[in-house]
Amino acid sequence: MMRTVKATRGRLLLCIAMAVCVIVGVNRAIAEQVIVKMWMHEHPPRIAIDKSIIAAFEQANPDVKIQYEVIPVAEYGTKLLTAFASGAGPDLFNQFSGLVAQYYNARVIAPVDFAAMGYADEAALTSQYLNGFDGARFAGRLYGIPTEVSNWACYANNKIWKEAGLDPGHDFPTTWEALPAIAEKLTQRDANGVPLRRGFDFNWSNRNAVWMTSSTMLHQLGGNIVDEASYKATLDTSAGRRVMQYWADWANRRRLGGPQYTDSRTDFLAGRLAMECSFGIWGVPQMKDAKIDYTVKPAPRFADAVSDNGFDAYAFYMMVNARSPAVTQKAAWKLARSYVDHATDLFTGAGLFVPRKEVMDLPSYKADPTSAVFIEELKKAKFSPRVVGYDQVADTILRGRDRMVQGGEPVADVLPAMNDDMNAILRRERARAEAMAK
Amino acid sequence: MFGIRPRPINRKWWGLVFVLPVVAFFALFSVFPVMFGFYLSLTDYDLLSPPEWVGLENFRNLFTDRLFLTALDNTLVFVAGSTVPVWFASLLAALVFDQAFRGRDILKATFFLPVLPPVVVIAVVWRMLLHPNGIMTWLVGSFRGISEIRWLADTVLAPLSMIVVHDWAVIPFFMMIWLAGLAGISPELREAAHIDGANAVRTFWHIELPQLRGTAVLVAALSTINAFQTFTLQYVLSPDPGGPANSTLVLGLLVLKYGFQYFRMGDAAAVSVVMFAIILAVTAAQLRFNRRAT
Amino acid sequence: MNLRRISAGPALFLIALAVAALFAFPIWFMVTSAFKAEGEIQAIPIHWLPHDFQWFARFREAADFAPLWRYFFNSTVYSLVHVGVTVFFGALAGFGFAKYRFPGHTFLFFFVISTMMIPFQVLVVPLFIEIKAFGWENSYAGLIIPGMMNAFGVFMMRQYAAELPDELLEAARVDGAGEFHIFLRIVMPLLVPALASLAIIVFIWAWGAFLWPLVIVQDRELNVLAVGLTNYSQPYQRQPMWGAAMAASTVATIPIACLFVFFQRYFIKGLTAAAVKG
Repeated sequence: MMRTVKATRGRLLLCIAMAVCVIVGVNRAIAEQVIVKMWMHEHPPRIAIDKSIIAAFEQANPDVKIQYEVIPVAEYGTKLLTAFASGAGPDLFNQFSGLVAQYYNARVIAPVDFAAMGYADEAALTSQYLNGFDGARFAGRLYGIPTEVSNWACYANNKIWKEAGLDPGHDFPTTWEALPAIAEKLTQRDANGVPLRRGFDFNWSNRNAVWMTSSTMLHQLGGNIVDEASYKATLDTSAGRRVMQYWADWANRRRLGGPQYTDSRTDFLAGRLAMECSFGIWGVPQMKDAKIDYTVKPAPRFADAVSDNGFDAYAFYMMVNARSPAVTQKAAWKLARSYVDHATDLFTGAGLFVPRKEVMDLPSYKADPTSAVFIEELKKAKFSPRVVGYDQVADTILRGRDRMVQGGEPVADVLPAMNDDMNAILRRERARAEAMAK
Repeated sequence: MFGIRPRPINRKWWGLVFVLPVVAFFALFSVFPVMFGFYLSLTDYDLLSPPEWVGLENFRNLFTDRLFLTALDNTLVFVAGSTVPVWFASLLAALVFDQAFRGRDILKATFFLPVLPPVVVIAVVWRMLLHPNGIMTWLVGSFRGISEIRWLADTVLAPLSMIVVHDWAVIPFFMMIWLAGLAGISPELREAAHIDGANAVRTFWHIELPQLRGTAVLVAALSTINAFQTFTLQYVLSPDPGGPANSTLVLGLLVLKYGFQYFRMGDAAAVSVVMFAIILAVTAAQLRFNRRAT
Repeated sequence: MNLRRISAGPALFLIALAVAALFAFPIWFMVTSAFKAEGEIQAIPIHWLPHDFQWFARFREAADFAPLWRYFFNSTVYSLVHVGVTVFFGALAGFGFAKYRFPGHTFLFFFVISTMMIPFQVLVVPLFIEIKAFGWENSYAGLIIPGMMNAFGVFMMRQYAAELPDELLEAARVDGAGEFHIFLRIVMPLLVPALASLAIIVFIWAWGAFLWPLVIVQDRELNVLAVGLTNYSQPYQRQPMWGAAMAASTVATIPIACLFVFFQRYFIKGLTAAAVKG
């Protein structure tokens, strides 16, 4: 009897000890499990790929759990800001290059941790790419990894060109000066001269498009929207006046189009426009869906351009929250590494291009003639200036353009005021950013 | 029995209990935010970092802020363009529908339709009607052979379109106010005038109009205050809120722009404080007018 | 009633007809377009009636493109909560202010009424920050709670409650009724007509609420119909879908139209009362 009781007690103690060990062990495991909050903007073809990358990563790293969230593009910027403001920002997120400066200035993004990513140094990473990092480089340090690098080129609708007796291969204008004549040949007008179908028109309403197109044209003339070194707007220059005058003439004198047309991309896909220049290589699947037989050509240059650049490049960068715990940041960088290693999947599955060797070696990429055009343009492309207060500065350009193009005010009258307004915004936003970064 | 229960002394406290819920609610969701808003207008706050005290600098900056001056200008034009025509048009409509004629009630109800949909619906419907090559262009331009009118993309037509749509939507409402005022005029007065041989116009001018002074002031004040705070119409009717060259940027839109697009919360609060001050001034003026009228 | 000569009748009728037609035509266009084929909507010359009646195709389109019925549900919940809370607590507070002389009642009344003067633009930024601090942003609580009481309700109910005869209340007290019981069983039933008008006007205000939902809600599933409508007129990177927009607009107008048709008297009274309070 005594022995049985002792034995029972012994077994009981053993069970309790084992239970305690299991509980402590599990707790430790849970405690050591790192949670990485990952936010990406909404781009439907890419979401499934994201999820598979995450699943594979979680399997390979059982101590890390990823909370993945997709946010609609229109709300993404606001949601990020309000989240950072309440200290609930994501640990890993991607964002358009034009908006990266504000995060840098507010010191919410961390410099790239190459060791955590598994690289010996920066060169080990960047040597795998043709280019694309400049948009996330500040004061010589890198703050983001490109998940998509894009530049635009011009798409021509072959059918409409042929009907007008033109051939995109030979007749496509190589200069901005030659563009209006060709566009006129492709334009169909009604009795009042109002275009029913336009040959070419700019993307007037998308703020980023206006920013990048004006930046491109200014770069060609050796100018810029904003000089990043001095943080001053440089639109009130001969180059700026020339670009604005070109737009004003386009809409008012030549009546080839104008800001009353609000969606050039949709118009091109619907056959209402014979030529459009705000699509990247990611436009190809959309052309196929819309059943458009197209030719891709490089952007026009100014006849006397000092720089042979096509449309500015832009990128989406993956960045890590500087305010997250160190352990979470390391896990986030590891996930970022896994993500960019899947570059070929992202290209084939979602059309997202990064100029990485494996992607450019893909047979499908090499076989597509449009790839050659884009990569040649990308080699010569610059990034648009990165500024704090991007929204406000871009809006100022849009409204100034409205006055010149829709309001018909002389360029020489409007530009100085516009430049001053931009400088005031840049000054103020930079001072605020510096004050708050302390 | 323990004697008379001291009800009358305790009873009044029930009143306090009854009003406490609303008082607490407004303290928390109206009064406190307004005070907080005043505080914010004296700071520089971008949501990412704590607010930084700047005193009256935001207000001083407004004097030279081109966006603010444009918004103020546009708002004043909008208010003038809506208050004056609406006052007259709604009075005329009320006079017409105050008469007795066959079919009046049905026609009055039909006339009243614009009041029913929410402002958003009105903006969406008119945005479609005001397409450059659309219905309104056809109605207005087809006589002169015009095929495209840029109602919302032209720097002059855009604010005009806003005013016309707004007026269309509120005239029936103010007609109703006038009708209520007209109904308040005692029939004996009119009978007396009729017996004295006055015709319709003289009756109106000498008898009814003086009686309507209170209503007149009310319509003017209400339509002014309402027009001042306009936001939804400008936001939804325009393809690009603020319009071409900011021609339809009104103060209400500017608060949203500063607060939720540019994240300049201090500036947004400052603009809203200015709006508040102007509205208070209009309300005060209305009260003074009323006092003098009675 | 007017004693003017009615010989001007036919002329007046024609004027009224022209004016009414002018004002009603956009509404007519909205409703008929909801039943037209997409290509027919902007057709010139105007198709006053659908040539190719589509039944509910545009409505289905609207519901497919965005969660139309979810928006409708959210707007209904939002509006009904606002109506319920404003009517009940407005009546309660109105009764309290009207019939009870407790210390501070004048001050507190003006405190409440003064909030009617505050334009919403003044509130939107600080209220947003406050609601975010509660953790309510992008939630039903944050959407519905901040506006659910309306000072106008208190003002209006106080006026009507003040007119109730004191003797009635005294008689009830003598019978041993508690104060709250008096409110519920005696005062509320007497206030029903005024409550009806108040309910209608609050419903109309709540149904059309735009700025606050725009600012506080980010998830589509939480949004109200007013904001959801802009999905059709300003879709992201697409041309506007006018057919779906007209269908959704018609859906958005129906509840108020019903109120107008069935409760016209209270409708007019409510709107007038809200205006005259000034």
